[in-house]
Amino acid sequence: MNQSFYTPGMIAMRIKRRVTRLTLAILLALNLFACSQEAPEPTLTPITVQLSFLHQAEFAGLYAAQQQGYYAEERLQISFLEGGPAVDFITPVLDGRAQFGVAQPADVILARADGKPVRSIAVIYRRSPIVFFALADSGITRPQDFAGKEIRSTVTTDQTLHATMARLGIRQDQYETVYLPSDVSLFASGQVPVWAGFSNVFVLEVERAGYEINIIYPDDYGIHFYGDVIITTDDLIAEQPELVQRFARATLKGWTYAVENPAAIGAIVKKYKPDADEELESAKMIASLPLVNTGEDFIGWMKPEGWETMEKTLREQGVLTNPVEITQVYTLQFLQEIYNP
Amino acid sequence: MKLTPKLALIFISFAAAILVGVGLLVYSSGRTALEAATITELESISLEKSAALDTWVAGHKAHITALSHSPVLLEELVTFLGSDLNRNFAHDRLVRELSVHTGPGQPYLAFFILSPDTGEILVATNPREEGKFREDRAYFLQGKTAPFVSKVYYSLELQSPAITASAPLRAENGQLLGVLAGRLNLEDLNTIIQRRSGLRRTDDAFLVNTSNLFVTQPHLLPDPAVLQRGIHTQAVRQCLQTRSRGTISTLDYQDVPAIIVFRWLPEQEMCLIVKMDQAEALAPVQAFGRAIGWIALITLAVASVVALTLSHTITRPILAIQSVVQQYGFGNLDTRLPEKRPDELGVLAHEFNQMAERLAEKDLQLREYAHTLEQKVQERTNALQQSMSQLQRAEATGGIGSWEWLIPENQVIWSDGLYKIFGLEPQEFGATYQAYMEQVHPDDREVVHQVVEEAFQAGGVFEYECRVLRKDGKIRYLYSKGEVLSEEHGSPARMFGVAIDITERRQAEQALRESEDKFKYIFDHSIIGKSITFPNGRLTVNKAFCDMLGYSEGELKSRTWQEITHPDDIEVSSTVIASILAGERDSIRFTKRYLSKDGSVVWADVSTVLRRDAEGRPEYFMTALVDITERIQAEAALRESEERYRSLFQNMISGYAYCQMLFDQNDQAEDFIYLNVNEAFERLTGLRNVVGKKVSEVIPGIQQSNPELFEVYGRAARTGQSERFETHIDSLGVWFSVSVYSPKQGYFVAVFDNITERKQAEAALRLENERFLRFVDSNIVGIAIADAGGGIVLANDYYLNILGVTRADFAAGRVDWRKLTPPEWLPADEKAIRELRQRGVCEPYEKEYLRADGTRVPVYLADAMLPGEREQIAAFILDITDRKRAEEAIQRITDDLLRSNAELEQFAYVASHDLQEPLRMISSYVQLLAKRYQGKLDSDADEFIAFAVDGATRMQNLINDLLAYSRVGTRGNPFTAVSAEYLLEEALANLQLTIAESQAQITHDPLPVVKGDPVQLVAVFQNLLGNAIKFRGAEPLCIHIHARQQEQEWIFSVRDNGIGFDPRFAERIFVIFQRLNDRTEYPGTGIGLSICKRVITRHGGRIWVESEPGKGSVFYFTLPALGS
Repeated sequence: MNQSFYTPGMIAMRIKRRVTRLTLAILLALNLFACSQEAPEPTLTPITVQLSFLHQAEFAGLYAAQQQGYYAEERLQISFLEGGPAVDFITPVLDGRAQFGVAQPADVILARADGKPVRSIAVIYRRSPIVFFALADSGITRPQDFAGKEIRSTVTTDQTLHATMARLGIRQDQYETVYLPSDVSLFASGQVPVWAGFSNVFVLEVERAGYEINIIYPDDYGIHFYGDVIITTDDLIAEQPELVQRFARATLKGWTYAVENPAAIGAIVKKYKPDADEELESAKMIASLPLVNTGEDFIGWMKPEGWETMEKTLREQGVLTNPVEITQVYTLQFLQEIYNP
Repeated sequence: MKLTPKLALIFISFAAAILVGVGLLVYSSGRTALEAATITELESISLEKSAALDTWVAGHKAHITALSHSPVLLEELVTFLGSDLNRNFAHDRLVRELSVHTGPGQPYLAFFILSPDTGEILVATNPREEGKFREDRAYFLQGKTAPFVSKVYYSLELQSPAITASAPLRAENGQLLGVLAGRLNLEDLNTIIQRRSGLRRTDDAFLVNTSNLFVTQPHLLPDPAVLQRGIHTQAVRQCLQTRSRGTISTLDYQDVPAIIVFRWLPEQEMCLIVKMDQAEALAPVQAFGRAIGWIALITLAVASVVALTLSHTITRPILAIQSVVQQYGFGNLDTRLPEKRPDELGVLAHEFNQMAERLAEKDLQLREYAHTLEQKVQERTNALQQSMSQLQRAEATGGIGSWEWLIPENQVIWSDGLYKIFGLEPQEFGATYQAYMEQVHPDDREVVHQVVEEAFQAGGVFEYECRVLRKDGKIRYLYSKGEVLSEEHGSPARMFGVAIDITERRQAEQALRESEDKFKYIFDHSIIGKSITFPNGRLTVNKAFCDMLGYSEGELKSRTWQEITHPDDIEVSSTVIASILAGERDSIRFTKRYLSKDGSVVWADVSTVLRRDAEGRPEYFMTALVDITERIQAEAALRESEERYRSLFQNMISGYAYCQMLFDQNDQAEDFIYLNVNEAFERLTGLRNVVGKKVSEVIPGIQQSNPELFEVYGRAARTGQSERFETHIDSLGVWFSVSVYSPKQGYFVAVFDNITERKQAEAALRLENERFLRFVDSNIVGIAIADAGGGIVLANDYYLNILGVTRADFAAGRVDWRKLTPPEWLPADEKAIRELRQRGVCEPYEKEYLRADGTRVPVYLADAMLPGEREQIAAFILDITDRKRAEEAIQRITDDLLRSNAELEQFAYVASHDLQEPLRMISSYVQLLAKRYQGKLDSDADEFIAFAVDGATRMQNLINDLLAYSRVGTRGNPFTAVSAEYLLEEALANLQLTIAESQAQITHDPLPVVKGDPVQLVAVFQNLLGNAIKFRGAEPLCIHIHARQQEQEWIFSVRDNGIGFDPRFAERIFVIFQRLNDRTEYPGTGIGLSICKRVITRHGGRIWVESEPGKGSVFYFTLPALGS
């Protein structure tokens, strides 16, 4: 009740202000209308991504895309499902618990051969980080030495292991695989003499813990696989190609950030894994650089020959027995739109 | 601003602008020139580095080409590929040859020779590389055809950039033998790129590959770790994207502004970056800039002094004019300017004087107008006062008042009527809008203010109702209507209106509303269901009614009472309603059933009364109802329960007896009488017709045999305490479990069960338990019952002793088998537990326990899962410390044996290998002697030379065979499944010439598939066949090979019809260097059969021979069958 006295000037001003407000409101309404034609989804779309292993720098690009706001720019709200040494990471994508996943290409080929409608839309590690390693004093230097031994594997490394051994004529009943956690002291105890793991992750941890090890690269034995790939289902690609496109674009942008700022990755990983050793996680990313940014094409790019080679290897080594149309295992549709090469 | 400083400022600014412009021009042209010079310098460095790199690459290409034609290398490679015997020797020679060019300071880090077919590394300077495949690498694919230097790539194994050169290795006939590949030592490359003139401080040059990784170390970042981190500066990005050369001034890898020249090297797919800090490159031009600045500053100071003097001269006369005009402004209208100046200022003075004359005339006219205006205002005021007084008279009738608000003055004028309504005296009212608002009830002020404000905006008529809070505390309701009058230009000038007191009307309305509300409240919020039923059956109901039947109010409104009444009760209800409608009574109370929405029956106690209108016509029924469903259900349940108990009593399994206790004089229980028993009583006791009888009659002597029975029953009958006990009635030979209680003083009820069987079972169980404990405590092995989590439920002394804990520790729960297990043994336990869960038992296994005293005890452990819901594991352990010690001793001896054996083999190998070298020399020179001097010396010399040649040749054969013999143990291949038919075929193919020459007839039966080293087994067949051919007799030679299975092995036989030998020598012929025949007759070293024996022994088989002179021989050997 303070403003109870009006001079004509004040009243005129109030009227003028009202008119201005009205005009603004009309303009605003028109503007909103105009906007709504362009952007029918102003809200964030919730998306779940199934990771193939526990939280760590292996998934740096995905974290970076979230932390740098690339997903938000694409109007996506991402949550991650953690994987593990024996966690099936393809089924959640198939049954809709996750829309996207990180998987090993061999598993994608095998899943496709089993009639499961999954497809890879981009490959993150264009050189596979999967290697085998043993304590240096174990005398194990070649895959031939694995025969008759126990080998630690995980669901992500199984296919590479079988393919490598088959290539050298060693049957699956000539060695035994065990699933164990990535525990440095367990490795150091030497009970399981041969371990399969990621050169940019667990191998790094073992080396930093001061153990001398022999690393055996599948690449040296004719196994040229891609590493982590991004997968989704045929249905999602057919029904919401634009959503897949947005996810792929933001994810690759995240990986580009990770490649260009590897030292910043430790702090980002810590947000997902609070007990992470920041320096170690950054080191993992640095070790991943030559796998992700190979200097050919673009980050995330796939080559049909790469997939053909993998299929050929898996078939020759008897790991893949069902027929599969290899061009259905991946699609270049999204990479081509993003990079427009 | 004053004119003088303004002018001065303009002059100074002008001078400054010119100075700055010229200064910047000079500075920037200097800078551009210097920048251009720097770029030229950097470009020339870049060009030089690029040329040096080309030379470096070309040099390596030439080097590896030369190496690939090295005769030594090619000769050794042919040996390596062709001969099985000299393979290792050739291998070592190749490695030695290549190693000369590798290592620190050498052009290569490592060399490999790749198989042209598979890309496998056959020979490598680092033995670890052998066996790997390089089938997809460019240097392999390209290197097969011509010398090649790869582009730079990142080697995961080395974790560094790498370049590999390669060249084909061809035999003289042009056949491709292999690909020679050498990984270049990039140290030289680093030196080339890092080489600097030394004239500059911040110049740097380095190479970056397409993965954004440093190939050479930038000298400003000496940490080798940077080689693994990426570089993403603008220069690198631009170079990699455009794949061209260019120059850019931007931040470098240290975030320092720099001038950068980048160059794409298409051959190696790398960027060459050369840069220099801007600060260093542009240092001279910055000094020059500072000098220009100083000169400009001094020039500006001089210009300022000049400008100030000049402006002062211009403004002096203007200031004089200003002072006169100022006086005129203060009212001194007679002031005039001197007009004597001839310039523009003189004209200005003249014009001013004329204007002053004209203003004096206008002033006079204005004063007259003002006087006329005052008279007119007085007349208007009088007219207004007259109309006001008329209005006041109208208001005197009461309840009405009028007002007027002069808006610009904010003055409010009230009529007397309005003062009366507000209960105020005129002097008590402030006569402003604010004062008016203070009288309005606080809750209504907002509304009133809003109406008034809108009237301001819109103009015209407005109205509102509000409450007035009078100072005597009374509230009056007021209806106001008014109008806004605006001035010509539209802004409101005043507002007037009337107000009417409508308090009485409002009070009447309020009273009516409250009465309606009360009824509605009672109806709606009653906890008793209420309804109003109209004659057509429609209902209006309250919430309680709805809740009772589970319908919403809306749902019930659309239903008739018949629809919600239980079908069986519709008729009764209709009869009741009809009787009321007929006027037989006004109201009635009865019980009926309703159907709720979910179909369940709701019992209700209903009371209804009929309302009639003034003429007595039925209007509606008012009905109240209470849900009595629970009461009805409880009554039914009670009835049912009584029935059930009655039946239970008769049918219960337990015996039941209701008795009266009899006490003697001392108030001791003496006897009791059965008052009531059930059927089970008779069944359990075998006693019949006991009711009314004393127990002493029914079971004579019971007082003596079971006195405790009377004691307990007596106590229960007396105290009313219920008790439970077990007793054996000797006369009946039965165990009973009895519960006794007293329903009233002196009486008791006994409920009992026959537990004879349970008692027997318990006794059996006790025996079983004792047996078990005896078994456990036998302490022959350690026995424990434990759970998977580490807890131990039971353990015998033997077990505790092994673990090194006392029984006191165990009893206190301080023993946890997991904590006593060293961590490296836990996985073994986990595996066993998994197996237990799957199969119930596990394979016995060995592990260790860590005892409290820190020692470790090895044990042999077997587990079994015990039946039962809780997961319990029976563990049996044996202390195997002694066995372990013995095993270790055996292992030590075995190791020693193996080592000495290996050393011996190594010695034999090295000795024979090293003997070859001088022998070859002797042999060649003796042969040379034979060739050159045959027939030139005397016949003795010819004979001696022939002996020497023969001796050397034999020695060579001996050594070769010895080598082969020693290699059986050391150079064997892994065992694979192989068909013996194949082995035989291979052997026959190798012996083709000999067989043809001897015209031997070789036959065989079907041969099995065996497991073994194919190369060695072919040698066995070859030796045996070779022997048979060599020792053939006069008749045509027939050899037959046969195999038969005996248990887990195959027995092979090779039968011939040769010369045979005395069976006494059957053992001796397998000994190395042992011969039965003269060397001159049957050549050979005597090693063949000992090689056979060694091979067969290595395969876990046996070899023997049966023979007779002149009747041929049969050689037998065994090989393990497949799958054994």
